Amino acid sequence: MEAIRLEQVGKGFTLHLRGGTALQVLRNLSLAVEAGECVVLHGASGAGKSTVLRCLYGNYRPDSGRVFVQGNGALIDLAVASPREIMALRRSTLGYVSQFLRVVPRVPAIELVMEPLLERGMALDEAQQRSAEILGRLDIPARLWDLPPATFSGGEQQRINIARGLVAERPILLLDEPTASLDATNRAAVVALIREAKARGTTVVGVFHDREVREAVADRVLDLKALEVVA
Amino acid sequence: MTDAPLLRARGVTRAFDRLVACRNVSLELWPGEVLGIVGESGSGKTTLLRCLAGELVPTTGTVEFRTLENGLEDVHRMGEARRRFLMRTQWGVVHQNARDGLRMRVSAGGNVGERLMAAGARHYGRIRSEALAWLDRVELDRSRIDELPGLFSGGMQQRLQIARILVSKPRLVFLDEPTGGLDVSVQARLLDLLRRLTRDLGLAVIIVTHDLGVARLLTHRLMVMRQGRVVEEGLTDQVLDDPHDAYTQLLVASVIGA
Amino acid sequence: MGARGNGLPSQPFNFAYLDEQTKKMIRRAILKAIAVPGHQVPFASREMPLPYGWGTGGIQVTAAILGADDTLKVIDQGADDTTNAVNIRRLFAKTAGVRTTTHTVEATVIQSRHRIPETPLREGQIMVFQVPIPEPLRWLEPRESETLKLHALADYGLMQVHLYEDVATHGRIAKSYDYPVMVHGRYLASPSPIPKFDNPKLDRNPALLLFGAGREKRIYAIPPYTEVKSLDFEDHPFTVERWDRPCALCGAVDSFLDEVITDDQGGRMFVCSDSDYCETRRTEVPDAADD
Repeated sequence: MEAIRLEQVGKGFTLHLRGGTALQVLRNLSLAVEAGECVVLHGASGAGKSTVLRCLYGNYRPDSGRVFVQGNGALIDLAVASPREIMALRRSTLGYVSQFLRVVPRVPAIELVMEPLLERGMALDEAQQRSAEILGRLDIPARLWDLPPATFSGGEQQRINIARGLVAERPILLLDEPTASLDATNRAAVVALIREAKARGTTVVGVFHDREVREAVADRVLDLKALEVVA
Repeated sequence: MTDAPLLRARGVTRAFDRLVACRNVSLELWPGEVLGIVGESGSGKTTLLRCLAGELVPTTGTVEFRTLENGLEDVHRMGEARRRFLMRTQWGVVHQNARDGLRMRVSAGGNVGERLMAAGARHYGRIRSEALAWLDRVELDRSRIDELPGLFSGGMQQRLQIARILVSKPRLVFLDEPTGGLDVSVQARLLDLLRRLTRDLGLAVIIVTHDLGVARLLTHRLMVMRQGRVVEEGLTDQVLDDPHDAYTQLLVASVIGA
Repeated sequence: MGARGNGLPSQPFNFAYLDEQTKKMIRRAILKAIAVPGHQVPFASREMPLPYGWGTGGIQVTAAILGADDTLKVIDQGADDTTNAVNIRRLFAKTAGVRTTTHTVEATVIQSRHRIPETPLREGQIMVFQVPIPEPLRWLEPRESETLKLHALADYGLMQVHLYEDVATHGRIAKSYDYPVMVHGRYLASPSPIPKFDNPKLDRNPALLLFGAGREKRIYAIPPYTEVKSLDFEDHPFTVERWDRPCALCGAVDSFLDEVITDDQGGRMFVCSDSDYCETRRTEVPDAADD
């Protein structure tokens, strides 16, 4: 069964502040991902890999084409879905790890990780426990858990980000360069987490610059340019 | 997820003589959603908020609120008694200027307890303990329950307003520039409180602000207004990361931390 | 000395001082007030021969309802013999020629400043209260436009907040006179500055109770047998004043006592504020206060 299907997706940006310069990033892109598959997107910088992930998360709205995601028992087209539907889909189905952690003032690291679980209605202590577990696996020492991540290192912030994205074990995971700022040990920890997610049947679409990581998790590697049909 | 929206506005237009402050605005809000209305001064966002909150009658258009008793009711066509009752039980407005939202000559405890007393609460001890509980929740020092709001700082007055409204367990809260005039650290604290309260209480919130950072932090959905019109709307992260409208792009580019 | 040689000026007054048109206007206001117990009815208050603050409202109400067969009693803080009471009684004696009395039981109309007589009233009697500020919410909400709305919507949370503030500040409801009441379960009213001791007398009183405020130009009423409840909290219920000794003159233990300073050494005695009540007790029970 398909978990994800993009059909002829086009995405461009019109920069009104630059005199209306148009930037076309995706052209007629089509791809499908089976449930439980791990697909890695490949391509040169600026080819649109992050853009694809953001379209899958509903963060970017494509100009044309359809972005189907299987969730809540239905196939939803994110290109035309209402904000409410997208919010519901994110809550239930879509996990997203962006390249950068958006720092929220005053919120301790552990609470940031707990939020997706609490939003789902999980009890406070269970949420706390699960968050502690995953933070432990990502080698974030307990003394940092009650601190807001604003002062953490880039690598630490990235690991908080990953924890937050993975803790809720959603059926689809979108990973945008999750290991970019990590050392070998932590990379391995992330790979282990991704593998466990795969074992649970999670569908993964990711962008990994690191070849080792790519080879450790990918079932398929797709070259974006090859997927675009130039009209 | 319930099907009927908590609040529905259709074609809300409000003119002051020949000045059209807000034009043809429609929106729907469901429980648990936080909607941001952003725009610069003169965008019409405050006028819109006042029409939505029942304080100002739209020139044309309707505002409907789903009450506990009767489903969707037209806020401006219902009787004044009903509207005033709903305004102090099922929804509330946190005003930009605390003086508009608090009784300055009544103690903090009296301010928080008022909605309970207006609803018929007649047991002093219980009213007081509920007031204390709410002061705790908004992180105000319990021992200041008998002080007048004038002795509180701006940030504390905002939090007192929030407590005063939440005590009646409303389902919808309007916030008008909640962080205006507050120090940055005080803002952060208030925003943190609001995030937790909306999550814990499942509130629907409409927050009017000119601060995109606040919008990014607190809201799920965003409406961008300019000169009375909605120029762009959608998921907050989408509007801020992928702005389509020229004005939205300008706003986003102008702001640090958006 | 006028032409009639009877002490009256050459132009006689209309019966009870006011002209008939004014009395008619006031009576209409009174009827409206009776129809909506506790609701303040505006009326066109006239210039009276006393300044504002001296009972002009009460006088106008009395003037409007007085008939030739009536017997009038006038008291001020319970006493028939203070300046204010004496002058008002004389005014009506002169302009209406009605019988006057100091005995509550004999009166058909009783005008009072700030007290209700201890002797229970009966059906057929009318009490007229002099009211300075008829609006119970005035000190909490200065805008008349807003208090009108609050009354219309029965939106009285504000008064309860005021009582809350009292308990928070003083540990108890501190209001000891002009204590707010709910009339007929609908309107919040000021009972005029009677001591709270008198509030229970308002509840289901067989007499007709009329309230006149001359400066503020309002009349309101509590019809006979109307429910009148003093506001309070469940855990701070309404209570009345108590004294630890009886009246020094008549021995009464159930009346409102005034404290009278008797000398410069701090000597004091407590006597009934209701002079008629005290006197009657002393005449009927001569041995009552022998100590």
